[in-house]
Amino acid sequence: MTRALVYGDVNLNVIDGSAIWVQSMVEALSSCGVEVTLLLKAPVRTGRLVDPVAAMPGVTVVRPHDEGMVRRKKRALTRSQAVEIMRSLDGRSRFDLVVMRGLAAVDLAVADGSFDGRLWTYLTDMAQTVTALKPDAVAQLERISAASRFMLCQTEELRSFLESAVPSACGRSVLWTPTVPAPDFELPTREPLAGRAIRLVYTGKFAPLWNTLEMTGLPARLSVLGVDAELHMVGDKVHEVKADPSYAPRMQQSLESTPGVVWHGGMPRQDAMKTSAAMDVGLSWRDPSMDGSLELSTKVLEFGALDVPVILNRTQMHEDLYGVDYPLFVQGEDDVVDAIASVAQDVELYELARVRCRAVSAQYSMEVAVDRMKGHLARAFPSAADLVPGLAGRTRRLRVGVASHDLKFFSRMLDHLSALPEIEVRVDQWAGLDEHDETRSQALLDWADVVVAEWCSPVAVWYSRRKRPGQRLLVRLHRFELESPWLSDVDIDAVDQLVCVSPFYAQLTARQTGWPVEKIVVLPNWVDLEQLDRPKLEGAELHLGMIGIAPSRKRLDLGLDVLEAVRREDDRFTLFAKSKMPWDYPWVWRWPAERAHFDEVFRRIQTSPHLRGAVVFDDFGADVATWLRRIGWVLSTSDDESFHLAPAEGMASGAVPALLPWPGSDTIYHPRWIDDDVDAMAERILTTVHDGRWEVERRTAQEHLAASFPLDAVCDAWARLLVENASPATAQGTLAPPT
Amino acid sequence: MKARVRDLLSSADLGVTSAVAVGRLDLSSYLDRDVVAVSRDSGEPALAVDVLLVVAAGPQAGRHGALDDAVVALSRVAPGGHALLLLGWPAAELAAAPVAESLAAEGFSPVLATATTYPELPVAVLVGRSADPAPEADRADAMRQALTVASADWLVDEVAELRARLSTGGDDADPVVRIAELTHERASLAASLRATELELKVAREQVAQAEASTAMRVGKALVGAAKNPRTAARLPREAVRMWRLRGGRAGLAKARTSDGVGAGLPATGGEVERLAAWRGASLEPRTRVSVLGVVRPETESALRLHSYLARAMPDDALPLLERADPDMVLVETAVSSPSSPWAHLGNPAASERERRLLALVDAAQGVGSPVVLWRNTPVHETAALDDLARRCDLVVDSAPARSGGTPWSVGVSLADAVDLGADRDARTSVLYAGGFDPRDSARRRALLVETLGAAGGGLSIRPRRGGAPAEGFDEPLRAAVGPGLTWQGYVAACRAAAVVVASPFVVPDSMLGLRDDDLVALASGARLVSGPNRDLAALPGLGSAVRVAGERDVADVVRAAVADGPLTEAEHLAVLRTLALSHSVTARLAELVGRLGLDVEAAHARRVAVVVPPGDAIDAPRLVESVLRQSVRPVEVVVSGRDLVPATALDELVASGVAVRTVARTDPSYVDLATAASAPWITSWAPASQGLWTDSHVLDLLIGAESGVDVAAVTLTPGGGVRAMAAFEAGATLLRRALVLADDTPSTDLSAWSRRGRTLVAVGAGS
Repeated sequence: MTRALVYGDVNLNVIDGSAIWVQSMVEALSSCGVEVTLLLKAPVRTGRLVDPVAAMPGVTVVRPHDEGMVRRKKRALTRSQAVEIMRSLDGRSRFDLVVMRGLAAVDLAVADGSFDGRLWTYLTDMAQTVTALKPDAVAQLERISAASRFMLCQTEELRSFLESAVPSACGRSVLWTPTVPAPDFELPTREPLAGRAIRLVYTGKFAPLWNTLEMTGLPARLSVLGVDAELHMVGDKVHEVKADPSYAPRMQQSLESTPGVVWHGGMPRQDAMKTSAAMDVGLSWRDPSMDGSLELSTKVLEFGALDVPVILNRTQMHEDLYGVDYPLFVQGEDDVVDAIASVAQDVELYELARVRCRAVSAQYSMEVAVDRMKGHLARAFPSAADLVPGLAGRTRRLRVGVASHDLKFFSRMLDHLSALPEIEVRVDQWAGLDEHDETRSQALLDWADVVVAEWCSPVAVWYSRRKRPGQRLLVRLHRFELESPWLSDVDIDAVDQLVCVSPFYAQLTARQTGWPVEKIVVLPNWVDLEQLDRPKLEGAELHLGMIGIAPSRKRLDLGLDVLEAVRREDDRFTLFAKSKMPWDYPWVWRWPAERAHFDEVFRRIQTSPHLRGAVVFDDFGADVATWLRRIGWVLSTSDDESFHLAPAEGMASGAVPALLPWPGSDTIYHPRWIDDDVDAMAERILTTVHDGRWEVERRTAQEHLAASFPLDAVCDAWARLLVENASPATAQGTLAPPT
Repeated sequence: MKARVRDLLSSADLGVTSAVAVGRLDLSSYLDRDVVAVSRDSGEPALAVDVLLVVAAGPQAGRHGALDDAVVALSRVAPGGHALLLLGWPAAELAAAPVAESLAAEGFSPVLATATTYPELPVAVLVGRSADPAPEADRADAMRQALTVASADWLVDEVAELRARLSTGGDDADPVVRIAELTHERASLAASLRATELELKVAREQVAQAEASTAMRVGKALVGAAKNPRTAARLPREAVRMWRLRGGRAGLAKARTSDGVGAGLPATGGEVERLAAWRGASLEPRTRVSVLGVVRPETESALRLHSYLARAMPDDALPLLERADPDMVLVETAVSSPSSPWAHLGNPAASERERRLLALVDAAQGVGSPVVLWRNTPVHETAALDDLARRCDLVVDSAPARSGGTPWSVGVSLADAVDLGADRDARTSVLYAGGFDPRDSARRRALLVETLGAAGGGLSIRPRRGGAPAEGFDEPLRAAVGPGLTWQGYVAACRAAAVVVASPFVVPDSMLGLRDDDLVALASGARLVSGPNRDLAALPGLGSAVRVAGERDVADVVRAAVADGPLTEAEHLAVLRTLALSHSVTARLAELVGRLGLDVEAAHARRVAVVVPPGDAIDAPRLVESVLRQSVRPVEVVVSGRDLVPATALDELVASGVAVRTVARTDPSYVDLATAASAPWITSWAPASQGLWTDSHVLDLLIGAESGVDVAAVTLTPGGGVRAMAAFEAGATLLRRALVLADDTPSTDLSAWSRRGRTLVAVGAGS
């Protein structure tokens, strides 16, 4: 059974958003069958939250103050104490995952190093604006991300922000949205609005940024419009404003004596929810300075769960969630009055708001959270035994050695294989193409049941000439090796399977080497659909993308031809190229022909009337998934490629691929994505967008991707290949799904 | 880096509409018809200002064409016009050739010089004949400098190519013959390389000499600049331009991001400059504000006539900053809209855009260029840019009441909005350029439907591209929906409309501020119907040009506006006066310059000299009063010394900041007086018979001048409107001074100007 340790740097005696988060996290893990140990930060003064948690199946609550783990029994754990106790608990019985919340505490745990690779980190107290995120904060997040299995992000916005600033967070950042517990009471039936006052409700603290003073003026303003309204306010904390000492007394007085305002004072959370549920409209109208927040208010979601439509600021994030036409978005006091008056007088409009809120909150239910948690657990703790009988029932784990001079194209698969409980993985990292520690290689050879040579390089030569009888050798060939001098030195008889990434290269390899075709199989590259499938930003259908522009055979010039052609008809199209610049590659830039090519390209971009102001070079980086959110088309115009992951990643992201027919492209991608020439590609882009078919096309592309080479399927295929041969038929035909 | 002619023309934004190639070489084939139309040379003595003359010259007259012949051809270029010279001198010899002096003597300044890809014509220089030229010696200096740098560039490229060819071995190890060929070829290449390297060395020394002299001037200038603390970090324009041309970058190299947020971004210098190699630099005298803009194409279009604008991309902003050396950097938040290079600025999914912008802000401030952030998007779309706003030198808002900021927008370009050939009677449509915004409340949408429903059969609904769609309209309004409008399309549609319904119509909080879209509609002569908008209502001088509708009377107001039709000529002129004074691009730029405290003349194009033709004694009190009462005051008065009695009669003008220039010659001509003036425009004051000018006399003339792209003369007429004329008498007339001074354009015969393609405009309020 999977074992989890959960520590939130929060006080569970106070019921607030962070305490609810701890409760939800434990519940989600428990519901997935995980054995959970929850370490409390503060001594228990009330069991309101802790007791229900302790009663969940498989959950153990560690109360350090009651269990003699600390001397001062009334003080909350310091962060270092917490990490020390976590290490001690882990020492007794190792946890598979360690969930932590709170930047400072996580930083200490990372510095400790005991939990590297097992941390599931959740941060809300990190800097969340570009200017606030200083280099030292980035470095801290780099350390934390590198030590974490997952960076749990509250919103897509936070995930995007984190990934674009912290490279090591890319690929590790997953969504863990707030959870709204279902009310444990029956929702009251509200009588129709007609003929009675509309009841508004606010719960929480009273402070300037929450516009609570302005709210008290709403009944009067509404009455001018002929709308009878009551404002119910729940809470007892009035904020003292240093810059405005008069604020607190004015707020207090408004609560106490404003006609139409009913002040309920403070009340327990459950009572506050019950009070809210009896109201007609919730208020979450805030100062615009909070509109840039990357977090989602749990209070807003709670109103939805209580079936109470809510007034909230129009922000990008709220528009994405509630729809641009949600009737209760506001941008100022006049809007608030207008919105309330509208729903008070229009039953259908009120219903629209109510249903929309309810539907949004449903996306944040515990059921959804449990499903999401199952996905994360499956990704972190895969198992191959069910899929690969050869891996089941073994007396010891299968020993897999991976040897390579360059693992960048295999690292994700290495992560997967390493995570399989049926397999033990060791790596022989060569210093160069033909440079390695022979002792280390020999040790791996002696130890391994299976050796995977990543690249058909001198690594493959070395291992093929020394393979032990009964040992299994798998060699992965990409593209450049086909022209290399050492290919003939590979002892092909010793190779069990030669793995190519596409049928075209498999067949080319067979032709050029004469190696037995039954050994040559195809396992495609993989694309992490789950990571890449994210909501597109507005206008993405007008944004063409290219990933990688150098060397010249990537043919940015053809991409420019396409852009020029589409912009002749519609100048809204823009090309974004995510790439290192050619001068960043010394091996490219030293060639005069390459320089001449790119000088010509840059000249065109700046001087062509159709290209000027329409091509943007974005930074090279790991944040491809975030970058693809703005891209609607991914171009592949290269002279030649072995696979070209860019269009595949684009497809996974929900972009439409557009390829020119480089050799072998049709053995990987469906012909509908491959155009005969630049003009045909431009025509397809234009007609697809102008005919309103982009949405359909991108969904089709995503389905194609899911049916071709999604990460999970390729992972399973690799696990299988460790113990059994793949069919040589994989080297025929195409990877694309049938039409 | 070498360029072709088409590149040169594409990269220089000259407002050229056609080109004429003359001379011995057939240069028309060098021109790209996509970039500029090529027309036949009809041989007329003077070319229109928007016609580019292309000519070659070189050491072999029979082959390239003689320099003297080229100079003769260049004399046909009008003040304000441009020419392109392709030079056949070997790069190493060009600096010694008399090209720079000849061009400067002919009144030309360099705009851009570059090495070319044509072996016969290794250097090309784009030159402009300024209407307001700098001293000849300075222009010759700048010209020589530009040619030297371009020659050095050619040599650098040549050396690189020779080296590359030398290092390339033969690919076919074929027999002895091939080996011998290769050996010979390589020896020849090596010899060429040595010679070229020697030439390059000399060229570099020449550049170094210029650098030394620049450094000296920079030093002197810094002492002067130190007197003005706000501009102490800036260098005088000319020195900076020379320094920039030779690749100096001391300023940016020292610029540091203040908190490291921009760290890791592409630095200036090195290869990244290739991204801006074709843009931004200009050697023309700066008579307008220089702006580096993170702006949309429509803002670029509005600013282009009134400033030197370099539009920055996310990847080239830093090198462009260095090349353009702007007076200010202007960032508008509307660049965050989709399909813009800066799309999604402010969205956390594109935070690298914000990092790049912050790096630009830091770099600009590091070299003394203030940064202005213009917030012209709904608050929620760029809420995350608040931190950026705090870093800028000035934040201005299109909707100031919402943000509590300073109101500003780019304003109206009268040249775009005013139709000089408008036929008032032909304007019958009612334009609503907007959509059925799903963000609007149901109540507002209902009001919009009621408004448009009252517009009648002439209604045309045209959604704005990138704005809210118009799909939500039901019949019969749906039938009025036409294709989407670009910015240019919107301006054109306004010029054709009798009435424009403001979009958005019902303004939330009535606080959206003055919107340029509304001002353009008014400037075009259309009547505007708007929902409550307190800023619009507060504009003076509009009368019933704007009809503001409340919820209860919206249909009546619309019907009344439609019945009134387009603005009367008197209304139109009143509107244009208000706009020209405070809401034109020139006025708005001047406002920014004033707020920033820049030592830049933003309204150079509005400088007017009053010339008193020689003759009778001057009625000084009347002249003084006429000048000083102007809402746009002339900057100088030029008189014949003989007519000014006593000599101190105009001292009140001097005391009020109006320069008085006295021409001492015994019998000066009108041209002599015009020569003594410095302003780009001159207007006459009749010494004896002239009555007092009205307050708006000069303003009205300038409205005429700004209502076209290339207006040469403006007159005030009793008739109405702002319209182009084939001819009029020189009377109360505003003349472009450069044309008065040109030998071929006698200012006494304006119809001759008109025949040569100059635009003459008449302005009048009508009856």
